[in-house]
Amino acid sequence: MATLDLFEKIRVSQIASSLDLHPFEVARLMGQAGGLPFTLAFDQNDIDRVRELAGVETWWGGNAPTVEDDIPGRGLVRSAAQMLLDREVVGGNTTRADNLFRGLDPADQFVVRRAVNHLIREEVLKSIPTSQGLHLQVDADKVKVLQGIADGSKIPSSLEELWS
Amino acid sequence: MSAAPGQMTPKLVTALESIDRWRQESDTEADREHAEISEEQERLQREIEERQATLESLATRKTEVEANKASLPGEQLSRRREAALKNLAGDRGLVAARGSLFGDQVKARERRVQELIEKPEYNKLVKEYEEFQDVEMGLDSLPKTYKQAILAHHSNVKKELGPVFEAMAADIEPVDAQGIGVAVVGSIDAPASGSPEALAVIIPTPFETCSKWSERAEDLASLIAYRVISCVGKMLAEVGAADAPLQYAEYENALAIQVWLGDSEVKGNLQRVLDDLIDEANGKAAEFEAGRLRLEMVWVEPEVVAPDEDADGGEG
Repeated sequence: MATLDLFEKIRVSQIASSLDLHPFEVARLMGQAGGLPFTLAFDQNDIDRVRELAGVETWWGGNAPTVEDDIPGRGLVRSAAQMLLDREVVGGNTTRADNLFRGLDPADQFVVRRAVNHLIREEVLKSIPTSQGLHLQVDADKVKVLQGIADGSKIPSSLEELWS
Repeated sequence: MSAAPGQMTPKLVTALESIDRWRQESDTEADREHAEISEEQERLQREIEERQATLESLATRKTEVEANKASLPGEQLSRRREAALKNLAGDRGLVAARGSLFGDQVKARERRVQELIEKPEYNKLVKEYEEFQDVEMGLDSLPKTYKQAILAHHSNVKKELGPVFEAMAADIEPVDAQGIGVAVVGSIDAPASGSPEALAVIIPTPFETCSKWSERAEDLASLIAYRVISCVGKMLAEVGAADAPLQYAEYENALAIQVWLGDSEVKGNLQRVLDDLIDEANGKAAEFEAGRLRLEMVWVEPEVVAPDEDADGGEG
């Protein structure tokens, strides 16, 4: 970091980087929440505000409960399914799709992303466009399917193909 | 006694001669009139032929004019498309040139800050402030009193560096150039009597402001894109389509925002709302003020900005 950067206020692109968003998402959300300020210079409070506006959550981290599994990819997907259930992303509740990957390293993100896409195609998960970007939702009648994936009791064979 | 001259030529002779003269004169007169009539007939015939030729020529021209008139909408569309593309490229150039001047002003502000921090009264403080960034993460491992002492000192250092922060946050000086207006091209796709299904907004900034945002500096082009996207976001909220999906694409080396409205219930006139918001942004953006730049929405039919069938477009 250059010395001068220490004295500069936060830019839109820096808000985006810190939240793993695209700057255009930040601009759209701020626009919807009243508009951009006269000078595009921000502080930490603005980052927190955008985090809230965007519904950004980091599910994978040091304390994230993960499901133990002999196959790492399957373990990741089972953990992601359990996270959706734990956070009750069911019925009217939705979450940003990328909340399911945020905090994972790129290779693991790839596995979870493929599984999510597969579950959307299989209509276990529903994708909903929102001002925050793509959201995910589990219909009440699909909770059992997701539960079967999470506890490993009934993983659809088509999903197994993703890590076999 | 002299004899009176007598009538030596018989009257019949005289009468016949008179009849011959009459005949001769009549022939001559008839020939003359016949010739005149023939001449007039020929003249009229020529005139008829000329008129006929004129009629035929007019008929041909009429067909041409009708065909030309029928082609006007297409020609107008073609010219509007050409004008839109030409001016989009021109405006992109204007924004790039103005961005360069704006960048110079940003650098001038940085130079002023640099000169300030090189002054002896700030130099040591800046070094301390810099060093703090390295030790901050390890503060939690220190005893509480040490941590408090360091944070209190840091707070003092920050306070003393107030003029440096202020100089860095100072307004960018306006560029030394005339004001410019650039067009943001908008287009709404709607069925003849129905709600809009799609909106396209083309901004005269490089697509890389979207696709390579993390690799390039946040320049005037980026700031323009943010402003327009913010206005689009606000407009969508105001017309009840806040969740309408947006996509970003490259359009003729510029940035296009594509909004799908087919699944939204648009309430109100989105064109007028966006016009007003862009107009409002002109007076409420520091970088527009410093760059002496204004944006103006220009609306065109979807066909004017429809991409060529063989053109490729990326998505953000």
